[in-house]
Amino acid sequence: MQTDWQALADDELALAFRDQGRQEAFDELVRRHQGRVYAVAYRMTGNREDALDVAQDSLVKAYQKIEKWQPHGGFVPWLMRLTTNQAIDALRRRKRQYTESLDADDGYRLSSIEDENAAPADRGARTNEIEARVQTALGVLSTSQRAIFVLRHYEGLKLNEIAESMGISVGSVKVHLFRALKKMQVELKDLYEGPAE
Amino acid sequence: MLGKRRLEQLLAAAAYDDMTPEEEAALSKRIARDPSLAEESNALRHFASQLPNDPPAFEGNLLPAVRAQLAIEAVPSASRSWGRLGAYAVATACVLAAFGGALMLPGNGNPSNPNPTASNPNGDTPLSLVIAESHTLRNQGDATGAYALLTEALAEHGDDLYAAEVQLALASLAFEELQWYSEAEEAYDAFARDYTTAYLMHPDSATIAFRRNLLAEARASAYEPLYALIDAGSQLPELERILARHPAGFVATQAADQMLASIPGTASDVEALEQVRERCTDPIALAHLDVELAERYAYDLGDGIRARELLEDVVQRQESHYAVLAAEKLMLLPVE
Repeated sequence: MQTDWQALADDELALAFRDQGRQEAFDELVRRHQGRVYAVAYRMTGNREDALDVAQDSLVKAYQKIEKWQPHGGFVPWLMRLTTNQAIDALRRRKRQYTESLDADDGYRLSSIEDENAAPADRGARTNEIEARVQTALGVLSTSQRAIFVLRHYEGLKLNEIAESMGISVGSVKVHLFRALKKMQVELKDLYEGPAE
Repeated sequence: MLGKRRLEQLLAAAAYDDMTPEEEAALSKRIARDPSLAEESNALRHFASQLPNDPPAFEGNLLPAVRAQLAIEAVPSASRSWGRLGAYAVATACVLAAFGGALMLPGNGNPSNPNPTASNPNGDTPLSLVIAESHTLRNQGDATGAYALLTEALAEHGDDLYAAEVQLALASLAFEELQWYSEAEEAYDAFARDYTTAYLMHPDSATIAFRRNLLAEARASAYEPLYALIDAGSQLPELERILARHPAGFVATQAADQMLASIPGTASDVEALEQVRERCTDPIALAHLDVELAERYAYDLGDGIRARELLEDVVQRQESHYAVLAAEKLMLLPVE
């Protein structure tokens, strides 16, 4: 009987690939999550070229390390962990390349707004500007803060999932998230006012 | 009393509504003692809710690139020379393109890498077997048969790990052996479009980029310049004529490359270029060679003075196709 791979849940696909070596299951996982992997990579690295490299490397790692995945944690948090780790490695490599640059932080480099944040035609210039500002503000965060913020804010992972995927305590995740939010708040204070009284 | 760290944890969890009942109680208790905390908590929650969370646009397909990389990583290290050469390859390709083709096509590289042992290190796939078979056919002189075999197999197994390699092999066969230039252009374009990462990471990506540009330029003349180049071989006068008919582009660069190949036994490209230049008579070909020589002197030998002389000479001769290019190159020369 033909398997309808598209009908299977992520963890079922991961198991089919891990335990039965079903290539089609891995392919379906890639098709399903490549956009998400790219999004995390992009938020982490700040530019499209590095994001594509990181996304590709992450998916390759997922293929190569699938035997280490355990179903109890869910496939997506595991994949997100691989992606953030790949991004962190990429940022470290880039930091080494930019050690002489005075503004070198953790290697995060934002490409031009025109290149990287070209908005669909129906999105206004304001949206584009906000997007660019947010992306710039992400560059102010430390690598850990950025990873946690990206996983929580953009990927919607639960705090305990982030903790598990990053191998740190939930308390540490919360502290990093708080500090990330505060920094973002300062960076973007002219864009976002507080709640109406 | 709650410490600062604990308070930060509660505020972060509250901002994203990800609190346990115990945490909610703890924060409420703290707010009851210090009402200003409610404002801070609300502000943080409001800020988090206002921040956009649309994903960046992604419309590509990473699957072919992932398969290609897995295939590369499965190859034994001695033949795994692809690596992370994307930046170098792009940079080289950009230099070639930016110069309008006035740099030499690097070597006689064969980007198709039809070595079946490197293609099929462990574990056969339908396309890895077809690659090996096509290599045999190619060695037997049956390039048409190899092309047909690869085309049919790729259509049937487009998701195979070796699809990128087959696509490139098709392009290479069409370009190098069959001289089916229309098909070659289509195949190279498909390789660059459908297997972008494999293309950018390929050690011969500069050569592939050059061939794509060469084909695109020659298409306007129904690829006639490419057939002329094949017929010319290493005959200097004929190559000079081709260069003069198609100046300042990729055809000219290819003609100059073949001119260099006609001068055997020289110690360096500069020496070969100088010898070719001495034998040339056409003013357009001379201008092309002078610009190319200037590049070599400036950037390979560090002889900016000689480079400047050559470029100024081209400018003064006012050769229509190369005078402006030479003037631009003069501006870019390092200051002595």
